[in-house]
Amino acid sequence: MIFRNETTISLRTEKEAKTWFKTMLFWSFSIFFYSIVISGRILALIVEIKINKEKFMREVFPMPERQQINKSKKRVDARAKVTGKAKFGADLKFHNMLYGKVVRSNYPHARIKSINTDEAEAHPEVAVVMTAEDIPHNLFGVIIENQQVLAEDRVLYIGDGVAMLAADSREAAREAAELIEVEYEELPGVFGVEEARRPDAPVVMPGEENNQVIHHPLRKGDVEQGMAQADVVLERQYTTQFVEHAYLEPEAVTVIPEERNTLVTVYGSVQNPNATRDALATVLDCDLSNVRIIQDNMGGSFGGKDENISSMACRAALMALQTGRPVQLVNTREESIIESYKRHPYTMKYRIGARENGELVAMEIEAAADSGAYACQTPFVTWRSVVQATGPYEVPHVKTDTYGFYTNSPYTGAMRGYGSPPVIFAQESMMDELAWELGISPEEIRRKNMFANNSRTASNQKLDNHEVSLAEVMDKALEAIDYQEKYRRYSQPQPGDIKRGIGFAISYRGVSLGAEAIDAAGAIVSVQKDGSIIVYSGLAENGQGLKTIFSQIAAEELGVSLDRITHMETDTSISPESGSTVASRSTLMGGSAVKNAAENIKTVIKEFVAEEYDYQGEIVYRDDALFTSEGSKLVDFPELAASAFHSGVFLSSYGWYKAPGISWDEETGQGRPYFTYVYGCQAAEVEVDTGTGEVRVLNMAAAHDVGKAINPANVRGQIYGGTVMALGHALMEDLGFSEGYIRHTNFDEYLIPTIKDAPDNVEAIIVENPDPAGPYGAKSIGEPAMELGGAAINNALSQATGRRLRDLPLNLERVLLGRNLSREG
Amino acid sequence: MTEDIKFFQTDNLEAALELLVESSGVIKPVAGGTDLMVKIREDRELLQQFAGILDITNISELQGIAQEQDFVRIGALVTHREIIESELLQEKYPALVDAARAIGSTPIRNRATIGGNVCNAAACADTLGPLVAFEAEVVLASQAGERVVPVADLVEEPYQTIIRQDELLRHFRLPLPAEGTFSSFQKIGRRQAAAITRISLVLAARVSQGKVEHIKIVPGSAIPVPEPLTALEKRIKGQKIGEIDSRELSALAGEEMVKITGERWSTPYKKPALTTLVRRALVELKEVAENE
Amino acid sequence: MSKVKVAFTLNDQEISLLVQPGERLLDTIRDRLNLTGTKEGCGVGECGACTVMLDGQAVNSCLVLTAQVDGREVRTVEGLGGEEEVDKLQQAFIDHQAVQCGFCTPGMLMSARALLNDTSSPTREDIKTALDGNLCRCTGYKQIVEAVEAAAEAEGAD
Ligand SMILES: Cc1cc2nc3c(=O)[nH]c(=O)nc-3n(C[C@H](O)[C@H](O)[C@H](O)COP(=O)(O)OP(=O)(O)OC[C@H]3O[C@@H](n4cnc5c(N)ncnc54)[C@H](O)[C@@H]3O)c2cc1C
Ligand code: FES
Ligand code: FES
Repeated sequence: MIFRNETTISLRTEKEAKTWFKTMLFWSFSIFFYSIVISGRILALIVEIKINKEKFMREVFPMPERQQINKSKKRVDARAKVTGKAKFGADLKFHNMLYGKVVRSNYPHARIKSINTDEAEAHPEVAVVMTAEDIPHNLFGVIIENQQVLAEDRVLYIGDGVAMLAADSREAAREAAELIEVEYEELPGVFGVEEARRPDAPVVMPGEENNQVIHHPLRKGDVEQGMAQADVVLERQYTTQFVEHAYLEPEAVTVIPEERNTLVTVYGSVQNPNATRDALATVLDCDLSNVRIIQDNMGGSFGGKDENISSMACRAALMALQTGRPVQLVNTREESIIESYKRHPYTMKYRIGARENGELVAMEIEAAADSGAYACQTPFVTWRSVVQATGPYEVPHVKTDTYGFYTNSPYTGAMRGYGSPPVIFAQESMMDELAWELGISPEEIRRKNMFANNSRTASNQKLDNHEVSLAEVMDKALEAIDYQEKYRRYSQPQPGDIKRGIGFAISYRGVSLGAEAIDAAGAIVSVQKDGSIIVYSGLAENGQGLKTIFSQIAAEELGVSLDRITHMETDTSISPESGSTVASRSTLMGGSAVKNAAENIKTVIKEFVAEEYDYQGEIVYRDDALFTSEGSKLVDFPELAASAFHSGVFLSSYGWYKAPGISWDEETGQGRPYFTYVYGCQAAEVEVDTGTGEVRVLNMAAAHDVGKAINPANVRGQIYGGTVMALGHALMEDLGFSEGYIRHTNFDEYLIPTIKDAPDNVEAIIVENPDPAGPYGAKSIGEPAMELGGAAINNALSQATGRRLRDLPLNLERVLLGRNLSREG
Repeated sequence: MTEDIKFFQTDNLEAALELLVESSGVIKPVAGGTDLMVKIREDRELLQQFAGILDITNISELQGIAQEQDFVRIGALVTHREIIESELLQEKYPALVDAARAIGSTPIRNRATIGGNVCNAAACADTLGPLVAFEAEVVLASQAGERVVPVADLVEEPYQTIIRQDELLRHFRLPLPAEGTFSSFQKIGRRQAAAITRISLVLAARVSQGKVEHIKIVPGSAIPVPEPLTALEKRIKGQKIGEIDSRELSALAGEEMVKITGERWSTPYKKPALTTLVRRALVELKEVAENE
Repeated sequence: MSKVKVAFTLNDQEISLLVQPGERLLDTIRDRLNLTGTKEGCGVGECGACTVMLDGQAVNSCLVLTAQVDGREVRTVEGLGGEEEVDKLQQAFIDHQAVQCGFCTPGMLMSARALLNDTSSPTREDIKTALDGNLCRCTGYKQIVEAVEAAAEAEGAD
């Protein structure tokens, strides 16, 4: 999640986390000033934005004939993937490889009384058996270091590992794992945030005083004074569920001991190679340079292959070093669902005050997230919630508190959208409730309050350095789905059981990490002597298409065709550490770094061309050649590469991009939490069977301002995927939790949308208001695409039925009866 | 691999039946494997209980759909895909075809068999309802000979049938429906495809001269074993089609279900949902009858 | 242990092997034959990542015993394309951005190939039915449907 410029930052308590947060903010602030100096030109132009938008656009984005950018180029990895040649983590095999297996807790909370591994050790095919006793450095963690590689004396959730082994075959490993006997003393558990925050609640995390992981306050104006001015005050509670990432590929890692010059080399579906490297260096107590992570193709991640993969890599590494043999760990789907972290369930209390005409005057919000057994990324996830909780609306008086609490449920961490989908679900549902209460339309209430250029957010940030395009995205999405006509039609009485409704939601979303952490990324562009080009990036392909985007950017800058570029897998020993591939930051951060590297190369080329070809003017790079500004060809690119090489000129470069500055006051939540924002609107049309509770989403329209679409087909793909994922969360996804146990451990019960659940049509509308901060003006799309669907679908459903539901998922029982049913009663 | 079990394959029914008797331990038949393979994965020890697995998919006596004198024969090995594609079944037993269509997904329907669905006897098995509604019988074969049992009497409790270890389900016999028989199948799942049935309903009826002459109403996933809602059927049988009050009668269905199952955690949902399905089936029956 | 001898056609090649009685076709393909294009996503017939063609029909290889395919014909993603490196369907997946992470892709291709071999001009509903056993968490399915439609058209034009 975080970019770190020190080797290890290990925190064990909330207090330490806070101090660390402050340090980070100090750094961010310093960078802010630094960036003012270096980005003078941009800032000068930003001032101009208000004077003359068009002139500004022309100057910053002269947009000459582009050959790669804004084109739906085919994915660079598609061919390997359609032929079955692309290797994923579980596809690797190494000589003499062992198969690992982990024995997990049987209880959500228990003391481990004894572990007997004798029989397993005696198994003829077993090479090693280990427990926490054999692990001197047993703790790791990205923000707070309190996640156990294997549980020491207490298991804190159902997925905690207690022992592990490796054997010659998968079968033997499975068999031997069953021979390990663990004796537990079951302990009462803490489940749900309500229970966790009670003063007398048992403390989940050893060493803590209570169950609070973090608290982020935000104070603007005086909320009580605001409420007093309101004509209407609505108070509601919303909840969202635990959600499984359900990447199609279960986690897989292979660790090779002492390969080449490293202590361990790790291959696998690693979302954030640097974070996994940090965990390994901590647990193995070695230098970062001794750990090498090489990423394989990722069969989906969505934020979900981070801490759990780090944990697996640590386990496999320990066994690999113990045996001197490669060790592979591949989860079954059940293991994946039981062990991996989830999206945080939220309980959200909203109190909103508005005037009769719909104008918002005050919001009071409390959002509590279930962090499960570990801190994981809860401090940052809930931080994004605190920034976005009021939605994209101007509210003079705001009081928001977001919290995370430890419980004995599976731990929760990053998932596409991060802390925003739950609060958007609540807040955008609330907006409709309010409109209803006031007798105005959902559209009107939003138009009255939403951000425009120069609006001030709840953090009191003035939105003045980019186009605030809420009205534009909203207009476009609503038009595409024919909202007004359908809203009118579905507001009439509908005879029969089958009813239709239409609804929408809008959002603003901070781009990249914001004040979560220092925000910078790097890349390497290396021109070979035959003119082929190798790109390494610190941010990693997660299946979203990063390699294609980065290749397009490198190709664009150097004027070469895409097939000249080879984008390598992220390799921590080569690629510059760039923080995590999260927060939809790849295009903006990583893309800028690739662009910077290519620009550095062009600076060298310019000098070389001046000398070698006696041309001092602007060089135009296109069609695999260099041209003068008048259009006469100077030299073909491969020839240039060759002659540079033979003249001893180095055509490779690191590129680096540091995000513009930000600031944040931890006590009040005031400042500039993000350097820029994206805006989106999604609308959904649903059909509900009021006789059975079945809901079908007929159509969706999604308009997103992405700044600039480097690859429009890719952007659309993100939108289609994001909306359908949101549909799953909204209607069906349910882990069947009861008191820390998970009932739905495979895809027969944990249901995600099939092709028949996807809406008949999803209209993806790309809105482009280039942003000064991004490469070619590009911002982001991965997460915005999935944060709105839940609220839009809920609003559509409410219109259809005339009844408001406030808890996810909107399953058969809730829709038919207005409440959930469970086996436990 | 610890399981020391044997794998048998034969295309000869006699040989298969002989094997079931001769072997020292339990020989488990496998057809499409879509239930069995999942069970084995869930519980590895299951394999150890078998002395062997017998692949029956090549036995021709268990295959095919054919019309005989006064019934239609459906082999145990007929896949859900074959049911969907059969013009004969589409014409005679539309509710069965619709049930098959609602099962799992395409690759499952390509492989899973009607025999397997019935032998596995899950409460949510989708073909059981239509088979009971069409008053189908099964022909069970063993070395001792054949016995014929109504499908309605086959299932004792979920996952438990009266089929003996030494028997194979050979085929189903579905009486030819009388001219003008109407049938419908409805299913509610938690999603649009590959969904376990939350609740389903089969209605098969014949209206003659404005009166309901014959009616079968069988819910699925609502009661442990497939059986018709006989009290409700009695209320409807003989009634003039025009006088059927589908709203009132459908409410009785929910009550009859609760009488069979008692109140369960899922009852607050299943009761109104079943009521809806029955109401819709009756409304459709009326529409069809009135259009004739 | 009593191994079973099986002989079948895999991607147009005759092969013959000894397998365990309880061995899944998926494991035979991936582990014994090293064809790792076929994936495992759930092991219970729900995700479709393991889809292969058995006698021309799409089936979940995680639910098929290898011993059962004796004398039959099996095709995996590695066996698509034939002489060409990629066939029209695979090309359409590339062209229509129907691939994101790519984990579901081999299974999707096998289900779609089975459909196109049966039906030359499938409707959108036919396509959705043919792919209803293949989960994809990345794409939202839309570009996949478009790719199959385009492939049907391209193949129909031949
Ligand atoms: C992903 C998925 C989705 C599914 N969806 C549905 C659904 O929507 N609705 C539904 O009803 N079912 C569903 N099922 C369950 C299953 O597919 C069906 O029950 C199927 O019809 C079983 O047939 P089979 O041939 O695969 O059975 P098998 O697994 O081969 O056999 C099942 C059982 O029956 C026995 N058996 C099979 N044939 C005979 C015979 N001729 N004589 C004696 N014993 C025999 C076997 O020994 C075994 O115990 C689903 C399964 C999966 C994996
Ligand atoms: S692995 Fe076979 S269907 Fe998922
Ligand atoms: S492309 Fe990732 S699951 Fe389909």
